[in-house]
Amino acid sequence: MHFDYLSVLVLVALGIGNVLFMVALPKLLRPSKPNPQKLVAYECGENPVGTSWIQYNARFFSVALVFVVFDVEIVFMFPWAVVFKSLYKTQGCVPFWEMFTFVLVLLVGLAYLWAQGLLEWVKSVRKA
Amino acid sequence: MLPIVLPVDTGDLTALGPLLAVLIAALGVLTVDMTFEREEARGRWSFIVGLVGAGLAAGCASLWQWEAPGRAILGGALYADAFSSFFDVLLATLLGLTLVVSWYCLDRVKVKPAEFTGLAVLSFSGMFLMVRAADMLTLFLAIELMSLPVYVLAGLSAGSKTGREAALKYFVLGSLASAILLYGMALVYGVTASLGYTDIAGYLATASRESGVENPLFLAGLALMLVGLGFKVAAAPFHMWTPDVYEGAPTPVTTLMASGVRAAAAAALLRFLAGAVLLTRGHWMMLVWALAALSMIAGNVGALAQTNVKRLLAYSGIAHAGYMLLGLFALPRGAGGFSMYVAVYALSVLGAFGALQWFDDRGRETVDIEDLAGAGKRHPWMASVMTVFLLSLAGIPPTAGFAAKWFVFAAAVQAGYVGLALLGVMTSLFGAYYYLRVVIAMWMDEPADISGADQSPTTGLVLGLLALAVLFIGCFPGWLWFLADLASSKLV
Repeated sequence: MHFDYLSVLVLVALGIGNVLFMVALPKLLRPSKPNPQKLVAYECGENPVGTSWIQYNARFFSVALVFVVFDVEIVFMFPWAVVFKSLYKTQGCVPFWEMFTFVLVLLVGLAYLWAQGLLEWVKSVRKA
Repeated sequence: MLPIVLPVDTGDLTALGPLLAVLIAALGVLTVDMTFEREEARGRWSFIVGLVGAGLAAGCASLWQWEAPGRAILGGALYADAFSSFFDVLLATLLGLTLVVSWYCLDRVKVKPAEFTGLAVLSFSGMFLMVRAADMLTLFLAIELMSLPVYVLAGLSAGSKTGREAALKYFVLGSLASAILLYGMALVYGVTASLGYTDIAGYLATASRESGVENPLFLAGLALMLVGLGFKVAAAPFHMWTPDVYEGAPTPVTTLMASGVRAAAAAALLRFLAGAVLLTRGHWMMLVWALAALSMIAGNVGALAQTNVKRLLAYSGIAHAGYMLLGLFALPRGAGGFSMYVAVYALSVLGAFGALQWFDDRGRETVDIEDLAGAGKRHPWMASVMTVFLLSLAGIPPTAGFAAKWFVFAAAVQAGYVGLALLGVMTSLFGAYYYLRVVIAMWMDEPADISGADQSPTTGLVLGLLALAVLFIGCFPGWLWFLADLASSKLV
């Protein structure tokens, strides 16, 4: 029999069970006082039903771009951190300085965003 | 405590010098842009940092041992050879000149100098990476690093609707071209199981004909890659975006797109064709033949009817992509003519766009041929300079354009493509007509309305020196040919 795949089955069961548990437990604990506002599906503060050609805040874009800076950073740093110990044994500090350079470049980008005032939600225009 | 060691050995670091200089300059411009309070100071200092970066890059590149054999560095991701150095020197020159000729025009097109400089330097760092890319992933990364800032630059002019249209068009079509290029790379990787150019060439050399050079999947991938790269060098039939984007973007940005972007893309094309897939040249030369013939016809015929100088130069650029491709037929002997043509075209077209910007003296961009009417009477020196660049683009002796055309046509004839070379000569005659139309407007027509010229003598001087260089290369093409041939012969 394919007992090798038992772990996958257990994982699937745990995943489904976890979702059911997370939905069921609050159902038992929370008070239930629905109103129309609460029943609207959550869509980052926008009205979820209607035409998609509405004007919405352009700041969503800049926030998404700022997010990319951190996102890319973590995508590359996580696997690097996992194997760093073995890399250190074979290649010494080279991997450390490589990642240092990478993060430094991203940090300059972050600092630029900060200086441009893109990290503040309300005041976005820099005084010329 | 970690000891400080350099991540690469110092030999590799010297080879990377030009690339690092420009990358650090790009970060420097960003830093400058957030340090200084006043707009003018930000602009001026970012300009200086950009120029220093270009100077350092040119310096590092010329220090390279040109006779040394090429080698792969950084685990086979990049090449360090004379070909990289040749294009490093060219690109550094183009970067410096682009910054200088655009400097006084940025206000007029409502572009912030610091933002222009930052994006231009960042884009050039992609180009420096592109000319030394030794595997397909690095190539793709470099193309994107080069293109993304240019998409933004095209739409940077505040309140310009045409600029926004150009940026969107360029972005959408450019993304499509990138996707097609990536698809081609995926197919090539699927067949050869390698990303590095040397490994692909090695696979083709050892595999049987059915699984290697004759493999339909591989050839499909190669064709798709040619589409993607053909878009970047604006060869017909992938040229549709060129006139609209060149016209809509502010002239400083058009200058960069016509010179730097095309030069780097052409270099990457040659490196890929010569370094990775030379063994299948029987197949791709047919495609290059078609691209060259279509580009020469579409570009020259399209340019005939133009009244807008930027559109005219865009169409003529398509034709020049065609002439350039003729130089590829010299492979496998080494495509020195191709590299030389790229260099000469980039310098001439940069000069032409630079002079066009210099003529902006009415508070708006000079775009139409009739705006240039009587320029010879208003500014005889600058009109002479512009004439030199136009004659060089038309390929009339004693300018550099003639010498460069000579070498690419000779390459095509020697490879047995006499018909294509003849087509090139015939279409060049069309070219002479429309370039001379601009020259005649400048020297023969009556001045339209003369307003007070407020032009920078520095820019004029730089353009004048560039025109002298174009004439010098035209009279003594030997040294440039020697360098281009030396650089390109190392590829194969």
